[in-house]
Order: sequence, then C-alpha cells, then structure tokens
Amino acid sequence: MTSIGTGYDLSASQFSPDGRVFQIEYALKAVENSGTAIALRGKDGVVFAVEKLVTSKLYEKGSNKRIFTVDRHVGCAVAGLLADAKQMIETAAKEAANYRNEYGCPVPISYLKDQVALYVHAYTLYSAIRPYGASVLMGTYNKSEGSKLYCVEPSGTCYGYFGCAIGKAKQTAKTEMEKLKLSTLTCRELVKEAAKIIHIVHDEVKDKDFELELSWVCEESNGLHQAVPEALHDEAEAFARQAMEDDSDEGED
Amino acid sequence: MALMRDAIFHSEGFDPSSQMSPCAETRNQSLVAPRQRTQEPTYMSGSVIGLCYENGVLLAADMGATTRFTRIPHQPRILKINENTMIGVSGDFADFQYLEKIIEAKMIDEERKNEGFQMKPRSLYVYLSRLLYQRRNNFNPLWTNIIVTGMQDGKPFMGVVDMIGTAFETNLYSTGFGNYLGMGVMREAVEKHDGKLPLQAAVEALQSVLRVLYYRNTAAFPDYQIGNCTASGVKIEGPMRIDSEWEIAKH
Repeated sequence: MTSIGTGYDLSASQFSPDGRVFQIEYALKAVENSGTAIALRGKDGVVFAVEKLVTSKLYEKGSNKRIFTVDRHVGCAVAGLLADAKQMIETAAKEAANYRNEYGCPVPISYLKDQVALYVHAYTLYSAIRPYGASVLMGTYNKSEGSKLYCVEPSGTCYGYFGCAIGKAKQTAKTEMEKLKLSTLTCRELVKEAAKIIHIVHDEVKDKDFELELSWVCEESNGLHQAVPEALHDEAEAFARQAMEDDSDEGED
Repeated sequence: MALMRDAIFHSEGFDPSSQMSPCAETRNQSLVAPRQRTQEPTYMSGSVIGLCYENGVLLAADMGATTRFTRIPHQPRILKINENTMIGVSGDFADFQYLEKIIEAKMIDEERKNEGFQMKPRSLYVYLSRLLYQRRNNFNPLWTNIIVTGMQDGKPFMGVVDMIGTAFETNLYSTGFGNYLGMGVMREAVEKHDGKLPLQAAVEALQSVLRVLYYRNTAAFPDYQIGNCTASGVKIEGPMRIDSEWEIAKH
C-alpha cells in the first residue's frame, strides 16, 4: 500500500489514480485480522468451522459466537469485525424472513446471497460511510438441489465455492482444502477435516487460546442448520489433536 | 361540516374520496358512511376443544372450513409450535392461516438466536392476546378464537384468547358450538376423576364432544385430529373419523 498518505484512501467514493478504492482494501485487512473461518461443501451438505480467538480469560465460554443461522436452512460463518458481521447476518435474516412471508417457501440461497452482496456493495459507494469490515460464508443444503456455498466480501462481490476460507490464515487453510476431494466426502467426514484444518492453521505463538466452533447443514441434520452434535464435535476435536501430534512426531524423526 | 367528517372518518391512511371522480354525488356518498373493515368472516371452521388431563393436555378439532355454500375438507387446524406448545384455532380460516404465518416467523427468529431455550406456551398465549386485542382496538379484528396449550415448566397449561382479545387460563375449554354443547361433558369427566383424569378417559370425553358437534352442526366435518402434549413432546394424530349413527334420523 504505497499510496497511503496520498489522500486517496480517505473516502470510499474516490478512486486512486491507479484505479483502486483503498477503503475497500482496508476493509479486507480488517477481515484478515480476525480468526479463521472455513466452510467445506461436501456431497451431502456444508460444514462450517471457526477458530474463535478468546482474547480475554474473563469471557464466558461460548460467548461472541461467529457461526449464525440466517433461516432454518441457511448457515453462516463470519470473519472480520464482529459487529459489522452481525449487521450483515441481520440483513440476510430479514431478507430470508421477508421471502418466506411473500412466497411461502424457504429463500433460495442464490437469491439471498445476491441481496446481501447488493447491500454490502452499497456501503462502498459513498464518502460519508465506510464499507463493512467483514466477510460472510453462506451455505445451505436441500435434497433436490444439493449443497451450495457462497462467500460475500466487503466489496460486495460474491462467489460460489466448493471450499472457502476467510480470516487470518485463509491461504494456509485453502491449501489444506485443496488436498481434499471435497465432492466425494460426507459431512460426517468433513467435520473432522474441518476441525483438523482449524487446528493446523491456528498460530499458537501469536494467539494463545481459541474455541473451535462447528456447525453443519446437511442430509443428517434434515437440511437444517445446526451445531454439530456434541459427540461428533468431541470426536472431531480429538481427531484434529491426534493429527497434529502425528504430524509433529514425524517432524522429529 | 363535510370537512370535519372527512377529518374524522378519513384522518389516516387511505382516503377513498380523493381517489374518486370529482362528481359531487359520489363524493358525498363516500362521506356518509365511515370506513369499515372486517364486518364478517368468510370461510369458517368449527369448534376447537381442549382438555388438561393428569400429565398432559389434549386438543381436538374437526378438519375443514366452510362458507354457507362451499366446503374445504381435510384442513388441519391444530398446530405444533414447538416441543412444548401447540395451538388450536377456530373462526375465519384466512385469519388462521395468517396467524400460522406470523407464529412460524416468530419461531424461526427464536431458533435463529439460538439462546438455548424455547418459547413456552404461556408466552405465546400472552403474545397472541396482545396481538388480538390490538387488532380489535383498531376495529380490524382477527376473527379467531385460539386455544394455546402445552407444558409450562412441566405442568399442563391452557390459555384461551378470543377475537376481541379476552384472555384467560383454564383447564378445559371449547370454542364455538362446543362451548354450549361440550363443556358439560368435559367438566363431568374431570370431576369424575377428581382432577386426575387419565389420558384414555380424556380422549373419550373429547371424542364424545366431537360426535355431538358433528351431529348438531351441519358445517362440521367427520374427520378430526387430536393433539397431545406431554413432557415428552407434542404429537398430533389423525385424520381420524367420527363414528356416527344416522339410521335413527329416518324415524
């Protein structure tokens, strides 16, 4: 960011001479300061996992959750400024409720993600306001259409993914995901893989404590977005720890 | 004077006189009567009956809705709200469907917040009583009588809300015709068992009320559902059919 101090980064409604909008790039930076969140799209659903950094020992366990339910069938994992993310989730939830009221059926995610992206994008157009400092992973599953996964970014762009990561270690997480054959795996398997990826990308030196959040929307949960059952959560966490240990043992040999 | 009436009757919202032609006659007609909202229901459904028993609460209702000329059969009117709440609604069928919609939206909102607890029946009963009372005060009532039942902190609960917002808690009730024809049968059953009515006796009492209602009301349907809420959850059974004897009618 060589252009800092040139004055082009003060307003979201002004381009820099080389055609960038710095306020959006700063918003992306805000996302990259947050703990990692990932979503994996398997053959029978979508799994979300979040590395929720615990910044104070005084917090109650389970506070500041970063996985949200937008409607019964849509789950979200977020990274970035939590307050901004909550606003995006609220927008999505209102849109989903409104759609249900108007048309009497669950909102298609292809429509929902566009509405949220449009909303986020509007905040990149004016000088008086700042863009959202958060990204949202949005996933759903139903029997007839299978699983779907999208990521809405601060710029208002939105792409579909087979697997996506946002936050601090998104690069490493994406590299790990590429090793998996996502479309052949079931959610039960993916929960473990997701837990493993979060454990791998967690930086123990810089960030000490974290809680692992896991949720899914899949065949097994009847197309509802729910927290992963406690037994499976523990199993996945144990699997991740074991994988980490095996890895470090190999390193010593 | 005309202006003043205008101010009284059309002080808020839609003013039909402004939409009409400037012809004086039409304009005056629109000023004669005040704005009117729902004056009568259209598709109506019959009684909902409910009864608290020993370790739960039952709701029963026939399935369908009618006008004076047409019938829509097989319409369920007992709704499971969550694991400890169910409601039964009688009255205008469109208003029931509207209620169904707003309650579902409310439940989704609750599930979404994921705070680890569910709405209890008494909360829903109070909410509906406020909603219906407000609508009545706006002279735009929801033409429905509602029985909210469920398990409130482990105990059977029943709350009744009527179309003008009157609300009370009770242990047995029937809306509509059943209020005249069925309450006695249910009360007798409860008193006979000294307040500890077993499930089987409660079901039989409801069935006999349903039969009486079917015999007496031309608008009633023979198919019915029974919802049972206990500590282990809500279960709605049916459609079942009332056994009735019409041979005697020939004599």
